[in-house]
Amino acid sequence: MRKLFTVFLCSILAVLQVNAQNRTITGKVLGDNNAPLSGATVQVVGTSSKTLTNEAGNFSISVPTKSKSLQISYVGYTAKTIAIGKENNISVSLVNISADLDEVVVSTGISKQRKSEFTGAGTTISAKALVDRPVGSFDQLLQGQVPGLAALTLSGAPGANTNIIIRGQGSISGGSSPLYVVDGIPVEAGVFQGLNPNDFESLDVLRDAAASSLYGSRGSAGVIVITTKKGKSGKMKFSYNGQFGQKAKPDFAFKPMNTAQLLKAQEDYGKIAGGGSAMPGWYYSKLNPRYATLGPAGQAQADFLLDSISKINSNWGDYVFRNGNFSNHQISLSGGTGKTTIYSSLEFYNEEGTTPRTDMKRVSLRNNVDYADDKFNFSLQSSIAYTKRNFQQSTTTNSLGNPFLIVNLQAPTSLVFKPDGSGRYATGVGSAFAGANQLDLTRYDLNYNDQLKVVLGMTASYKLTNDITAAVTSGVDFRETQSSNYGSKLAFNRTPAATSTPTVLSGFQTEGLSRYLQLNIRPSINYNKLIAQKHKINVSVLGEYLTQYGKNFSLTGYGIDPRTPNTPAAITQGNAVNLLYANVGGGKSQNSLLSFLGTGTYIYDGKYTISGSYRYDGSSKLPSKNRWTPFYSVSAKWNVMKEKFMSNVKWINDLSVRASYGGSGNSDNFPFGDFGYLPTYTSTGTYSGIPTLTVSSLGNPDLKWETVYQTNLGLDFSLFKGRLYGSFDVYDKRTKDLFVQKQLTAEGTGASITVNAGTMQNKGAEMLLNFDIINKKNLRWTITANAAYNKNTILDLGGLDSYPSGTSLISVGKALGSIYEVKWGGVDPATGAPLYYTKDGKLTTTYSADYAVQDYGTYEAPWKGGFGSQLRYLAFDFSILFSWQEGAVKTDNLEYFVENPVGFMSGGYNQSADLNFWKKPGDIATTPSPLYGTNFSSKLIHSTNFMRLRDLTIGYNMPQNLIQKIGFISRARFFVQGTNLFIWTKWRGMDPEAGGTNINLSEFPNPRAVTMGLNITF
Amino acid sequence: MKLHKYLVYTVLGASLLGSCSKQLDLAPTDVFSDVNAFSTISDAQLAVNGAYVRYGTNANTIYSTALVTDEAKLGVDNNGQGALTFRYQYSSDGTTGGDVTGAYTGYYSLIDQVNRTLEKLPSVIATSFEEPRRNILKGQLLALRALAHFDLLQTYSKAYSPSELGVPIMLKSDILAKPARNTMAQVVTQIEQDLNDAFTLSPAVTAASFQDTVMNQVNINAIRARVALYKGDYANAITYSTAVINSNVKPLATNAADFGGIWTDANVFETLFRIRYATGTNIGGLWTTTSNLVYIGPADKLMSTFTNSDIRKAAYFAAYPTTPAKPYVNKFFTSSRGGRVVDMKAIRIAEMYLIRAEAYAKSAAPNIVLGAADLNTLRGSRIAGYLNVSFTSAADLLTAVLDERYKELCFEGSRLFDLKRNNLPVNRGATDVTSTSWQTLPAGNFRFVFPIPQYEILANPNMVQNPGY
Repeated sequence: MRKLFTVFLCSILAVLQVNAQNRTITGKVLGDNNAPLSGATVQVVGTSSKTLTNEAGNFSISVPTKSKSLQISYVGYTAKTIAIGKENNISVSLVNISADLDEVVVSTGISKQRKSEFTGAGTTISAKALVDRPVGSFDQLLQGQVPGLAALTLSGAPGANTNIIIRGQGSISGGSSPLYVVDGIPVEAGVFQGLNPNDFESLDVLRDAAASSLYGSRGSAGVIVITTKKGKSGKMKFSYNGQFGQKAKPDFAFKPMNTAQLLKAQEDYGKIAGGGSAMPGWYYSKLNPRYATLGPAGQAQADFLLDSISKINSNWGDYVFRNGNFSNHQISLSGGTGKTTIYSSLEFYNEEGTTPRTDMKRVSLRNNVDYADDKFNFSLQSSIAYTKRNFQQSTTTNSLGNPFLIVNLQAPTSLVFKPDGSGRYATGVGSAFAGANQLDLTRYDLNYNDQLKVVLGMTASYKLTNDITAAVTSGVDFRETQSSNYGSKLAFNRTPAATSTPTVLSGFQTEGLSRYLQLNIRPSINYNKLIAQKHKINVSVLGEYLTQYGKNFSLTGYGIDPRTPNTPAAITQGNAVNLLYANVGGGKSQNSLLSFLGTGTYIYDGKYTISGSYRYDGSSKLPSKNRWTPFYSVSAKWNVMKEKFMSNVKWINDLSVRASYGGSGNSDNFPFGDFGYLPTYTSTGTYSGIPTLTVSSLGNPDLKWETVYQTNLGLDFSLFKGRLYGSFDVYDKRTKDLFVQKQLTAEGTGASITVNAGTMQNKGAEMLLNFDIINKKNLRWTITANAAYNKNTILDLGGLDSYPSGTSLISVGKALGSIYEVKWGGVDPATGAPLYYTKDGKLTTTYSADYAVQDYGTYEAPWKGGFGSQLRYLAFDFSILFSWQEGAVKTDNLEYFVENPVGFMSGGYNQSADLNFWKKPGDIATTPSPLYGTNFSSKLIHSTNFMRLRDLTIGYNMPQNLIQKIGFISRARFFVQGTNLFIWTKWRGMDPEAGGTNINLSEFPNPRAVTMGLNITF
Repeated sequence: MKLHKYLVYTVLGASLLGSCSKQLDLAPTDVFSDVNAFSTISDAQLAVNGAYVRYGTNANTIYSTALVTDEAKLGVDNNGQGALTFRYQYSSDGTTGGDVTGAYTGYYSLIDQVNRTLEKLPSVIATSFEEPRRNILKGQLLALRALAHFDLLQTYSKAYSPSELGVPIMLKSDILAKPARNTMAQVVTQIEQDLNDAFTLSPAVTAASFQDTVMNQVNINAIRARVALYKGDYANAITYSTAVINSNVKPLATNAADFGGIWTDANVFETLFRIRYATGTNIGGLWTTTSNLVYIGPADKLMSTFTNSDIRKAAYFAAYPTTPAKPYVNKFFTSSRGGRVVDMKAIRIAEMYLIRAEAYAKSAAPNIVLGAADLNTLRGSRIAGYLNVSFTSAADLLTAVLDERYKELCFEGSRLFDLKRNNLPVNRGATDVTSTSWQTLPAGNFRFVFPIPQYEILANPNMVQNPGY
């Protein structure tokens, strides 16, 4: 009925129109780089008369004389309304939405909002800062770019992921990893080697409740939303991005002793405490009382040996490190006509690590298709990637298999290669051979994984009426990782000289397969209405179903013939004679999430915005009585500049105040697995040989999420014609129902389990500033800086004051990660004895773990940030980025090894050139006399403050006239780039940011890289 | 009309999502959980086996009660083992009171295992042939629960006084439980209830079908006799002990070889209930290590009560031939399995004679003759050339019965509770102590009641510590 009426009305209007007087206006619509836009809609405002531009971007439209304006719109561009003047031929330039500075769009992963209407604390990083960087895992790119985001690279191994923490750690036994969303699809955190950052259009880091509450039980650690590139309408453009370069050997602050230094130190040591043949500098020394007891022949031999050894000066760094090659090639297609655009890219990534046998290779393919007409919108994002990564063994462990420990511990007096010219390493039993044994393992063994990752996302929406849109988003995140580890029997550590275990002697082959599959569907209905040009209402109702499957299995077999290395076929069947029984194992699990979400926003006259959300999450991971959890948020924004009383203030362009409050859960960092609430039973126990069935894990019938309630106050500003702009935020984040250890009553089995009983607080402030110092056509110079402060405090541990957790202590009133150690009192100058402080501040030479105190600070820096600058002059562009952290400390386990002659030097290991041990009364030494051992103490606690030159890029854009001469290209840029070029730090371990723990474990350091690249668009 | 349409969509949507919410009822596939651990009656049997294992905590009771009475003295090789307990310096703290607080956790973990199994038992699948096992297992579990509650009550409460603090009754597995203490009368009522139910559910046994490793009608009656004596219900103590004795499933051993064999697992004479220790060091290792260090030795006072014609003397005590000789507890010392591996004898027939004799002596109308007869029967089977004695008063009979208990049941976890039940002090021999400070523990002293573990006090706001700690 209504439809009929509309048709009737339209036909009447059409008839009337014919009778009106018309004029014809022609023109051209241009987009990015003044390229003509074909298929743009040109509509006469107030009528239904409209037309589309042709392939050259030209249009011609008949306009009634009464009409005053034309509206020109195009997908992905901000629509423009133009007054009709006397001109009959007009040219209109449209601005790409993502390039429109005034209308930055923030994507929450669930909806897209204009920055001016977004009530939350979010930072958008554009593609510029993400593309063409020589890293395999995009999360490594975030350091120093976002206020309040800590990104510490745990390892410099190719493709290693980064420990990202937004606004401080919110959990003790759960994690603090944010939720990652790619094109609206949540994806597995921490597995990014299969995502190509060159395909990213933008990345939003959402830090407060206004965004995180939208994700309910999953959002409490913050949300990182990635939007991949869409095809740009117009002629299909073909681009090539190529980059190659080298990753250089790392530089680190511990300088191992050379042979001369070590032999001298050994002699000094021996004079005080004696010692054996592990210290040749003392053993063959003329000062050694033993020397006098040798006959003339013996003395001559000792002199000869010492002289021979002093001529060996192996630099282990030369063998443990190498320069790694890097190359990356990508071809992409972008374009589309009318209603459909596509973006396709194919990438080959190849990175070698700075130690042998580490690399990463990736082939990734992405296809994004977008379709839009008046009513129907459809977008499909698909990516598939195959990666292969090779690993060193034992990195980030205090083990002699770790090359980064060996490089500091192996004495320079040992040979690297056997002197027989065979090229074999000089392996053997004992500390003198540890370095060669490590290299031997590196040479013979293999450790790698192959990963296939597929991410598919699809969104379809349909405009039911002008105001109501129905949509559905669904996606798949699939990963299959096959890991292989070959242990060769040829490596010295697996020969009879080093071991007698049959399985070790025979070599091993481990094959593992793990699969992760996530399916996700999210239907929604959105109502969007502007009433009387003043009241903007947006209401959405959504549902979500998400399920995750995991399955893995592995087998380790033995008896590998070196003629058939690195294949499961070589595994020898185990039997009672050879005892080479294979180990097999694995598991599978599933969890599901079902949610309902409602959001609403009301904006009055562009001045006042209020938003709210309510989400009701049901999860299979919780016991049925706690299964459903509600989360909500409220937020508001006031655009001060829209007020009349501000209209005379010319130097402020934009000023808005934000506030938000809401709750969200930490379910993605849930430490209990999929069925942690259920008690489990084991049949492994016996009653005198008779099997039994007893509880193996108690479960917790009261289990629920850790929930974060966060208050945020923010200010966005833009001053001096937009030259100085930025934001400022303060927040208070409380984790309630924090997981803490709980002693159960005897009647409840007397065990200790983890329960929801504690409270933790993170509060802090964040600042982001941009200053366009010069903004001229040929010269543009911008400085950016961000800084954040976060204070973490444990407020309640469910009644306890503190409890130990591994080597650390969790204490009420302290920050999580506060280091707990006995206080070092220095070396007694009179005796060379180590001094420690007791709890009441007295010096003692007797160490006791009871003296440990917790007032050294934490390993997570309270202060962090970054700053940089971009300069564009004529055809050149230049950018630089520094990142820094302040206020963090760590225990240096490496120092304990290399500035500790007792046991380490006396055992034949190398020491640091900084070693200064007590030799005679009156010495002011940092290391005690060889007569005393030392314990772990605050001597080893050092600052990990650093400032790092993360990125330096210089680019040259080929000028337009040159491009036009060449003809077949439309854009060309050459660049040179340096990554991690310099670091300023007092930390002496491999890397102050490596290893997200309270202790230095000789991690894979972040490499320095210099690359060159070329971007060409045809 | 429009409204109607939306209503239909809403209902449709709701029912769709309602069916989706079933997607949240997932069960683990890789482990035994509540969902699948208890599937068949055989699984329940395994859980019952697991409950029996946990009665092994009674070894702790045997150890700690010997340490605080006149059964033990610190051995020559002692370097602190049980010394604080022996010297009456134990506390509720685990580091100084571990010997006396351990049983609290141990017995409740048994009760938890029982309650978990009881909860699942009705739903496990059994064939019609297996069906009778369901009640049998239930009976065994109830009996074990009663036994555990009773041992807790004896250890952590005063001598029976109905309205005073007992221990919490636990009838349901609840890891988050914070129960208050029930009165002693309530606990005893629950124990009696469990035992009555257990008795009803258990099948009748004959000497041929009797098994001393599981709960059955005979040893349930034995526990009933113990409980009746404990609460002063002498008529029932006599009734139940008589039922056990008359069942004749386990007569008294009659010669030294048979009697000695009980303690080395050469035979299972006299044992009404025993916990199997197939491997691993247990009770014997608490007194004497496998490397022959005597941490806890037998009290001189105890050894001096045996004459050489008493077959128990050699069975209970021996000495390493060092100079001076190093006496050690021979009860539970070793078996053919080597080491200190000996099954724990939790209930023996001899105790039934002693219970009945004590009940006769303490009855409102004491029966000195029958009481003396029980005492004489027991002594007659233990002492070569024993001549029966008679008593002139019930008090004399009682004294003789308690002395006999001291001897017969030493190092079986009975002495402390015997003294407590009869409001008697601990009087140690002068040579058994190094200081008179710990020679006596006056009757009714707070240390007769062991402390509730400190962690329990912290974890359970409803828990009340015993006086004195």
